[in-house]
Amino acid sequence: MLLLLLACLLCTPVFSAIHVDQAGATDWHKELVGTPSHVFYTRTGQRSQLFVGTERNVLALISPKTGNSVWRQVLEPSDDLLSVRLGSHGLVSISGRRLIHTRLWDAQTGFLVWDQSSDGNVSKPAADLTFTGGGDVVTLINGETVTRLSGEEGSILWSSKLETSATYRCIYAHGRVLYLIGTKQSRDYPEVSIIQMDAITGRIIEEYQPPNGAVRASEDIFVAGDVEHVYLYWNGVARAYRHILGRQADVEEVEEVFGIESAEIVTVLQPETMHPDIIIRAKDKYLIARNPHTVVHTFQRAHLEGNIFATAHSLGKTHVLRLTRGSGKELRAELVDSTSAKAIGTYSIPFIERMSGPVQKAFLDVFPKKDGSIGFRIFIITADGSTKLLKDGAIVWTKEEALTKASAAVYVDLPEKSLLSQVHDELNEQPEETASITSIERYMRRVRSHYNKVKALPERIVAMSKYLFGSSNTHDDMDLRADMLGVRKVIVFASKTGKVVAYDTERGRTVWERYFGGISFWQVENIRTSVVKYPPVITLVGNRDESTSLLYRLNALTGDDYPGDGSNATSEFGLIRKVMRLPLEEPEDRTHLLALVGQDSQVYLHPDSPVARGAFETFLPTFHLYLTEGVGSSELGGFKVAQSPDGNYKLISTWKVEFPDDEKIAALGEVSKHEHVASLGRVLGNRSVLYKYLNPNLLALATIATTGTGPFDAQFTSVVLLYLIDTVTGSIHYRAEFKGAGHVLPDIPSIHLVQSENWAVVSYWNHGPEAAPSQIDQSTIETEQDLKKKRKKKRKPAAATSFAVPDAKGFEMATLEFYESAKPDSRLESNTFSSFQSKRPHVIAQSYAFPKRINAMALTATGAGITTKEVLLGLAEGHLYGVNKRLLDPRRPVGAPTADEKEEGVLPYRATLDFNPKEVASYHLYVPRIEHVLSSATKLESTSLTIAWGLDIFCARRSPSKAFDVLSEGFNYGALLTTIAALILGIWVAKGMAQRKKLNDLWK
Amino acid sequence: MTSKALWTFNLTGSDTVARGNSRNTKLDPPGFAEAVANDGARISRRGSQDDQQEKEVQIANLKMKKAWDAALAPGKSIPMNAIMLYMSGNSIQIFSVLVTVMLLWNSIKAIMGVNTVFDRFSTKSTETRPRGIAALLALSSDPLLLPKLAYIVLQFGCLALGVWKCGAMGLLPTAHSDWLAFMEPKKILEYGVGGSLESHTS
Repeated sequence: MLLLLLACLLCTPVFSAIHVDQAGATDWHKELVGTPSHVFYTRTGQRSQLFVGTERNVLALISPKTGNSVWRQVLEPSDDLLSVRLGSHGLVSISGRRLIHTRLWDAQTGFLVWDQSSDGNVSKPAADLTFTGGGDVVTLINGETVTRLSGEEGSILWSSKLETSATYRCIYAHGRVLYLIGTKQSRDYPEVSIIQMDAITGRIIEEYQPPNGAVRASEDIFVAGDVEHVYLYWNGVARAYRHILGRQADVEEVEEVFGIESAEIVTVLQPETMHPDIIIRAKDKYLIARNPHTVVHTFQRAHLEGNIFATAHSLGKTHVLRLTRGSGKELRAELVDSTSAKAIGTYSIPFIERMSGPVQKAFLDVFPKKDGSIGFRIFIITADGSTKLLKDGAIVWTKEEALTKASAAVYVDLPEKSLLSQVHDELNEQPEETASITSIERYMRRVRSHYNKVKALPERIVAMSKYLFGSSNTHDDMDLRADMLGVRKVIVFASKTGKVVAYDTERGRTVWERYFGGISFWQVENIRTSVVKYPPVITLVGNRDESTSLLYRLNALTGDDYPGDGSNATSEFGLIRKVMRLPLEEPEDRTHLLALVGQDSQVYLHPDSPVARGAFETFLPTFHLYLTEGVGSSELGGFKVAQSPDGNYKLISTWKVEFPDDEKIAALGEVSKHEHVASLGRVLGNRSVLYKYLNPNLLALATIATTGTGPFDAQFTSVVLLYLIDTVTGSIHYRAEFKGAGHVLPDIPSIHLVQSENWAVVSYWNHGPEAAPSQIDQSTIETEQDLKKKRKKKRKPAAATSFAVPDAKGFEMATLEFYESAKPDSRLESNTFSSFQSKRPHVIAQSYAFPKRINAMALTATGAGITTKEVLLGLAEGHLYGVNKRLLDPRRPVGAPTADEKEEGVLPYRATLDFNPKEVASYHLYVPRIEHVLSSATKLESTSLTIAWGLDIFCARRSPSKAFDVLSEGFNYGALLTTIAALILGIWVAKGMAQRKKLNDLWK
Repeated sequence: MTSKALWTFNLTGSDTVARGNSRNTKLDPPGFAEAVANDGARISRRGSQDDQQEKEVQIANLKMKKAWDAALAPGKSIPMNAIMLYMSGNSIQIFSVLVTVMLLWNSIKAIMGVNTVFDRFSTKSTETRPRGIAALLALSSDPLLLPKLAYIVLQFGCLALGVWKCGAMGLLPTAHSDWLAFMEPKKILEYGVGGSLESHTS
């Protein structure tokens, strides 16, 4: 009794706020903004602020101390950021394509103050803006429309459209005069063209071309204002010139003005200020010059690489910085006070160029230190597109903004601990080894690995208990070994800017990073998983230019070339259009072979060794390819690979599906080749089985056919068609029409498709019945009638409205499942499956309305496929959301479920899938613009590792069927152990007592 | 017998025989003649030879009758069991499972112990049980064979009831779904792969 009481006391759980604890415990989030295209590094007194406008259409205020954003505004992907300026009211931006928005953002909070929109011209995206008297904003949009907006409320004061043949890119306000600077195409080169305007009325005063105005590109024109005049500098075709705006014929040679030889304008730093610094490259030096004709400082040694200039206005002075490349492991920074024309010092900053490429842009912040000396911070943008903040000769923070342009990623499993791998080693014996070693030797080996295991047992127990009692999260050292649960992996991202970064999935720490200059990566393949002794190997596929593709083989754990000696690590090809991993291994180093599809139906093998060719040729009879030009095309082709007489491999077309002219491919599904199917059928309530149509070569494909220009057009109709195509034979097994379905807007892709096992889910926007085309295709009627028939059979109300398009505009998700037969328990009995002998699948489908806009769709992955899949959605509002496949079940009964259906456990049909805040994987985090979601199986069957990226990177674990194979975090291990101990004690006590009683009984 | 007699002795001797061959004369009641008694015993022994046989047959018949009773007893419990199984429902709960398992277990136990059940009805001595082929021969000549068979058949009836109950509860692997997990997936003969060609535009 006492023991029971004790056990009860100990079993009382200790409650803790697990919900808050769990946030960030197993997931991580890297907030990014994109490569900055507009940077304003300002300082007011002791406080410095870093405003950025980026190539990914994000405006943000970044804290220079941490690199995190104080606020950020993520504009739509189609809302291209054209120009940003920091004014007295706040940050003004011009963005858009068809519709141009001019917006004022509050600088401290990031709140939108006003928004003024105007029509845009997609072919002329140039835009600029400037501020004029009283903080009003003057914008130049499409190079032809000049508008003055009130700075307070954004109302249009005047707007004028230029009637000119020149293209204007830049606008500059000086007093009550506005200057528009652009180029006019003449015979050989564009020529500088200038418009003078009245800033108050918007009246054009004059348009003129100054003499010697021929330039190579519009980037060669620089404006540098002054209190009295506005100077225009340009690098002419032969020489550099200067012109005072407004004085038509007044053009001077820069060489004469500053008394130097062979001058070339490099840049004008901060042209909005009263005394802009003009950087001029003379023969062997760089000069800081000021209007009207002063040379402030001379930087010697122009031959140094880099030469990035930055300036800062603070403490009433202007400082200019020159960054040059040191040895490749450091940067040289020269700081000059340009106001008093004195050099402050030269500093060396450690900087590894191999990891991020050279510096492209630098922004300076100068501040007084406590001891009176001058300190400085440099915000740099490197060639890979990432940003860093340097201070006091060290890197304060790095933001991998390059990954906002990540095109591909791959998970790499970490190698097992050496102990386990020893066992693997034994199992993984090569045949020649088997022949050579004796059984005694093998026995000794076995004993040895057992002995090692025993030796490591205490350590393992400690690790285990650490894990159980939740202290495993505290360690910070990075262990590149697989953990017990298999959640520690490496994810390698490759970006279009040539950057490759490997993160660990546990904490998001950088394992390694590399920069490949001038390479735009588009695919990564894991060609060797961590096998014993061999490190995992990845292949990166990228383009150097329009006609060269390169393949790099890297050790996935270190980022070094593989093989280590550098031979064969890089292979160069002509333009490669597609890379596919083959289920074949190179016998020597056990890497998977890659098949590369080049131009003109060429197929290459990588690596191309005689052994690999042999293996490939035996594989060829079963190898089928399907290729398409992708989204937007209307053709899908099937191919086989054959060897031409000269020994090269070539594609031979076997079939071709041409969709009708107005149909364009909108989304392609793809079944993972590594997917495990746990069950071959679906068990119904009456214990019969619907056998799944498991054809890994079945491709779900969605096409869209529209008429009219857009949803606001009266002629607009839209229809999404879903095809199931066997990619081996090219036969179309199924075709379904979703009338009225399409994209929300032509530039917001809303059709997403995922496919797995025997099902597919497609999402689209429903434009309502008025957008449904009226004529009905014959084949569709058939499928719809099949559906009807099936429904009747199931005693459901025959869908009389099955032709009708739901009159509710919104996002919808349709789910389809493919079965071998409509009849339960019937199956094509065979041990093999060949596409050439396959029947058509029986398809059942249902559709649901979904309340949120979807940007990306993907699936979870688990080791054995037992766990229910989850459809992961990247929502436009900045969430990663999971919809359980149980909800997207086409067998959900309409109306009251029958006993069998209840037994089967299907949920009754509801037309909407509700947004359940509990299923938001990213909880309260804002993860905008998710474009890719990638999942990987862990050693826990319940848990799938998921990474979403696009702008930010977010990694979380998902367990769609709940964590059925792990004890809950709140599990009271102490109580369990105490209970066991108490029971053992009780048994021991009771045993003694029982023995005594037995003995006493015998004496009676 | 006259009803007037207050008491009588019956000296025919059969009474004594029935009492047993007691030699203790002191306890011999009045009217007891040794000779007569002995003589009578002799006579009665000869006479009871038939009697004895008759009795043995009677006992054997009785035993047979009892054996049949025992053999048919399970049959009588079948309806009761059926009702019990019916009442316990087809859902898998502790009660229904317990009832079914008990039924099956009891039937199997009864079938295994059929010999012990019928031992007490056996007319032969149980000490020398024949073995081997002799046992088979003995079995064929065993008068209890039929009741035993009947008993077994009825127990099988009970067993069938239990199996039917298991089936009703879905515990028998009779449906396709029960063998689904053991099915091997079909081997895919073709390896198809592909997708969108890289456009290399941006």
